[in-house]
Amino acid sequence: MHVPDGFLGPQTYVSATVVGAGLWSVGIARVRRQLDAVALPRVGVLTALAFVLMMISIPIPGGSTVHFGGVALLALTFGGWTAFVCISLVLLMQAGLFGVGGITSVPVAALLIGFVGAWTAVAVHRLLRGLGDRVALFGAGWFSVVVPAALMAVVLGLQPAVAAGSDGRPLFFPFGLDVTLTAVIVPHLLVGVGEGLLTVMMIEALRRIGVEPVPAGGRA
Amino acid sequence: MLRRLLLAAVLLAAAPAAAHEVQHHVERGEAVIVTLEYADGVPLAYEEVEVRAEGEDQPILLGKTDVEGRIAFVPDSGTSYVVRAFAQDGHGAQVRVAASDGEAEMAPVSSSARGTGGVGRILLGVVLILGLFLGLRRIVARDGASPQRISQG
Repeated sequence: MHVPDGFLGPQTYVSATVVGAGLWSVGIARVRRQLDAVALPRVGVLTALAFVLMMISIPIPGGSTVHFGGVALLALTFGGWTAFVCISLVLLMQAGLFGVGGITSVPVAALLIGFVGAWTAVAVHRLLRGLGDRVALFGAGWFSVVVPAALMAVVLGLQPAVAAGSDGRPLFFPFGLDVTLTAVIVPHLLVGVGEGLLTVMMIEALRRIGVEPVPAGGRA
Repeated sequence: MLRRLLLAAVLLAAAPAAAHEVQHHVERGEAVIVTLEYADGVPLAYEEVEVRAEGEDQPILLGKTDVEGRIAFVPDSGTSYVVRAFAQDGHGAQVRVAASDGEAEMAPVSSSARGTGGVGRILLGVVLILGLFLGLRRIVARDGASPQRISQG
């Protein structure tokens, strides 16, 4: 879901920047207040892992590629706000330093992948906890990918309606919802399986070294 | 007489028919070829493409990439162009083709298609992230930990 520049109209990315600015200020304040010198390097390691996961493309049938994200892993270990801030940092670095995704699409991606993805993981984990720990972790990972993907499909699919020229021709992403909902969501149903398994394995590995998932009350 | 009249009728009918004919010219010249591929080298084949002169709304070309993920167009001297390729799943690229003394130069702006690859880039990113967080740790440690701060593990 690294959307290039020129795919989203200014109506979309300016709105996302305004909303994102408010959420980033809240998120950064919470992270500064709640993370200490012991937690910061660990957050850094998981943020670096998220960066690596997002930089490794996995080919899928049809010629396209997908990638994992590590959002649920960050959210369940250090909280939704920390995950949002860290994923935003990763997306900004990828676009600004490496040209992976457009700089104008960073706010939209941060809101969907970082904010929605992280809090979806936290919420699903709490909801499914009664079904067993591994089910809850897997569900958190799966939904943290699929829900943002579905929303990204909506954002992309609305571009022809949001921004069209005088002749009705789309000025930005040209495909409507009838195309994007299928094209974006279906591959991510499979990506979610991998993300779910990754979340289960990594959280269990972290527990073995004494890093516990976020408690029910939530954290930064 | 009848033959002459028939011949005249045929010639008169041929003239309007020629007006519907599409003339063609085949010539060889210089074109800009933009090749788009995913990080693993798979071409961005048969995907929607548009080419616009920079700053213009009207595309000079609408079409699809070929089987090799290529799009070709003939640039005007001194004009820069923006090439956009759209895959249905949101992948694609926006590429600026700069004009310099009549010769086009490739200048990629952004692309999800070249989104990965390069162990060096990944390592650089990891080092930058770890360096940032270790720097933050030093600052936090120097300022002293607040009692309400979280210490995992």
